[in-house]
Amino acid sequence: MQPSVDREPGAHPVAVGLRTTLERLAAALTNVNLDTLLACEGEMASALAATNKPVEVAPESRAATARELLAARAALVRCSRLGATLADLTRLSLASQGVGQTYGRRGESRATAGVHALEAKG
Amino acid sequence: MPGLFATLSATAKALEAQSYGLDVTGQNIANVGTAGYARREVILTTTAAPDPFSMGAGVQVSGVTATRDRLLERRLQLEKPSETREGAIADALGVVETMIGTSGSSIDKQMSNFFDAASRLSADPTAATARQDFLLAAQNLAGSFRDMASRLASAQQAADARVRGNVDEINGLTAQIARMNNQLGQVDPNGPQALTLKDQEKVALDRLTALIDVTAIERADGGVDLTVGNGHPLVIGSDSIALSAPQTGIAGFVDVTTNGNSILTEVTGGEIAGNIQVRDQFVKDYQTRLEALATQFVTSSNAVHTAGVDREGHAGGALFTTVPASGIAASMDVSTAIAGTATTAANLNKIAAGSIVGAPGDNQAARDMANLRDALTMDSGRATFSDSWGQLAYKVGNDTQAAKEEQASRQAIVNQVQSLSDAVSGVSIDEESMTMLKYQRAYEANAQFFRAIDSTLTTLFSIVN
Repeated sequence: MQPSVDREPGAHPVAVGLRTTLERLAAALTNVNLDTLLACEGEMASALAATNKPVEVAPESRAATARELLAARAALVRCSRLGATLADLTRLSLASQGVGQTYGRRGESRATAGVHALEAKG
Repeated sequence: MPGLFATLSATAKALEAQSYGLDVTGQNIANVGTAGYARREVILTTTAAPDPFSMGAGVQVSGVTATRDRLLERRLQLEKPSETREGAIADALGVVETMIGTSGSSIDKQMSNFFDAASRLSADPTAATARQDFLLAAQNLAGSFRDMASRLASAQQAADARVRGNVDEINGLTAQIARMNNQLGQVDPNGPQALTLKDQEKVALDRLTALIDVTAIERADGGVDLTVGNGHPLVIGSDSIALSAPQTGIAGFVDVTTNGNSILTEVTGGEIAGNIQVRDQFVKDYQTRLEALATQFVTSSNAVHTAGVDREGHAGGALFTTVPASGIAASMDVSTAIAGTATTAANLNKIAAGSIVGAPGDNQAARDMANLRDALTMDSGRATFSDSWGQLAYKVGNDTQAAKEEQASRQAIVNQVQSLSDAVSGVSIDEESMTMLKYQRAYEANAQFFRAIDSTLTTLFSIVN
């Protein structure tokens, strides 16, 4: 008997899972929603775990799967850009206060000049 | 199903919104030490879907708000003038208190020296050294009165100069606020420019309320109209009405007027009110007391001296002379008949130590003069000269202390209101930093999967294609 061409996990549900998670992540980055950001980590791990099994694509779902994959890739690029923006802004903002990368909860590396240097900004 | 352009548009809007939100956070951090800055918050709204089949058109920034508690700010503006008024009084009286000096080191010491000299003169009324000693003590005492009168006049003039300075600064600030009102009327009331202008206006208003008690009425466009005293306008929209400080007040001091009307008695708060009170009430009261003391001292000692007989057998003349028009304390000096002038020598024989003609050993006048120390000549026969001076010194010290305590009390209220206001409007740098770091860390946790996802997507693409 021929194996099912769309057996679980099929390519389409995997693509949908990845696309959904990445779009949720992008939305969380956009709306600055920390809870969703944290929740996405687990979802991302689960979506990836599903791809460990062999997947096949049913001919009838090929087009839909392709669209999901394109959307997932777009979401991935968007997440990367949003993340890069966030990282840059965080780094620059902390640096402007004289806070370096080793900044911790107690602010060990905080310098004194940074804040005053940017006070003229606003 | 949204089209490619719709998706791209939503993504672009989201990127823009996120960038804007983070920029605002950066602004909050950058302005953590900026006076008047109120924490900004971005208002994000979901863009409506263009058609029933779309999930939505993304997110957009609908505005930025400055978190401010108007009630607290108004409360602060009400408390501040009282605090600064008491501060101005305490500062000025602190200087006067130093001028008055400690007990036993000022006029009281010179009065004591004068009576001691009179006692020594009574012990040996014919001795030239005793007469010289008495003259010197009298001159020193007169000099002390003049010096004290001069110092109090200086304190009054300094307060007057500060009133003038306050008026100039008030006019500068009201002109500045009027300009900001004008600018606020030309920008979007919900835009970032309006928020910045309001921050700057708050700084100007805070300083203004420290100078003078004003009534602020908020305008619809976010600006403020200001009145002073019994409703005299200071700022109406983009127009400011300058205060004037013409030298038409008492003793040539400045008045404070607006549109030609004096508001001197209507100003009750702020540094200017404190300076006016110092000039017209506190120092004036001290001058009155000093003048009363000097007047009575001159009257009593001259009465004793003129009742006596000098060494030449003549009736004694006035020991002290004054120019009443210039003030008794300010002009008090030993008679030139005794002390001489720049061109004539002192005549110690003119000191009337006795009361009987032709009795060189008589010391009645000197004894009477020494007895003035304990005579109840002041305060309607209830106080000695020394008591009267002590009361003046005590009054200055008491007024200074009271002003300091009042200032401390008002300061506590201002601090409390400021803390409450800061809790709402202030920027916590730790909070902002931690917010950004939390998002970054949360993002990084997700980003660790990106490479694997990218690889998976590539594999899936190859299968699909």
